[in-house]
Amino acid sequence: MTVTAIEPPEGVWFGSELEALGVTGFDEGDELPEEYRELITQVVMVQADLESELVFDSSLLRHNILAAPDPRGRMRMAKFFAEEVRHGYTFWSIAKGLGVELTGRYFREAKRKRQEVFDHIGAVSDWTELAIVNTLTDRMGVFVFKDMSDCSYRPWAKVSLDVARDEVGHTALGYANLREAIEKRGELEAAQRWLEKWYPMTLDMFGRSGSARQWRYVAWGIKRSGNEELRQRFVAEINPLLTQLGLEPPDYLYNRHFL
Amino acid sequence: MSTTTISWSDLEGLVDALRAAHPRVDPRALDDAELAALVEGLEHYDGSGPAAGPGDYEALRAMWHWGA
Repeated sequence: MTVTAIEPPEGVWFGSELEALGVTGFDEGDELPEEYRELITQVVMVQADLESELVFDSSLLRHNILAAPDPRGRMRMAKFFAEEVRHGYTFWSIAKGLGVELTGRYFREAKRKRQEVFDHIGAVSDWTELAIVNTLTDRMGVFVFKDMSDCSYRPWAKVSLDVARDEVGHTALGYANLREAIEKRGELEAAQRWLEKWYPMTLDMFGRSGSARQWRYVAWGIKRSGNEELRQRFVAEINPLLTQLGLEPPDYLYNRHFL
Repeated sequence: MSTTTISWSDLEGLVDALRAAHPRVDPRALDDAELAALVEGLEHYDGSGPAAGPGDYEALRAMWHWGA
């Protein structure tokens, strides 16, 4: 198996479609080109699917908070999740501005399949597994949101840097918890096992390297980078952090489902 | 007069010193090189031990931001 090139096709660059229209971006309430509306709604809904459910049912966080082994850990996780609930509200508001009214019923009954992997996150009750999840998936969030910090949909650009900064804090906390689990509680073997579960899932979350749609996001100035470029930058940053703890990052293609 | 040395071997002490010296800094906004510059600028910092790796900066960032 191989991965494909990371360059956009000829004639596509960041915002090329906008240039053709003679605009630099859009605000809430603007009339949006049909394809643009579809793409920006998709971006917002991916994030809303992840975190806006918390606005309706914050008990989902109970598992994760109670997984902490001590009061300090539970205090930190509660602060962590306060930020996630705030993100959930932010994404809910932006979805509403795009005409998508998300309700508790939507999250209970009509969750889309792509959220399946994130249901796994809500079910995590092992502290070391949660540390791995936060180390990996929240760092993915840093890359994804930084990449959209100059998104052409201005309400989204406005929140992306703040969310990215929060995710920097989340991944740092995950890493600190992981380091404690390994160095103070001898959890290296368990951590390696969880790493082998979550590392490929996290790489998959960046999306397929050969996706045609990724370049439409670039062309409309919604995202700056393609999926594979972000994934490779993520790996270059995360692997040294993992090896410093004595963990062995799995092979780039190990157990991957979306190449 | 005695002085307390600050080093990477005492992360909590390092974070206390950074908080005192830079009360308005958000460590989530700083990359590793920027954090390193703040650490090296601390009074009584002893950099004679092993060089800090990327994980040390990540743990520093976490302790500084999340407290306790």
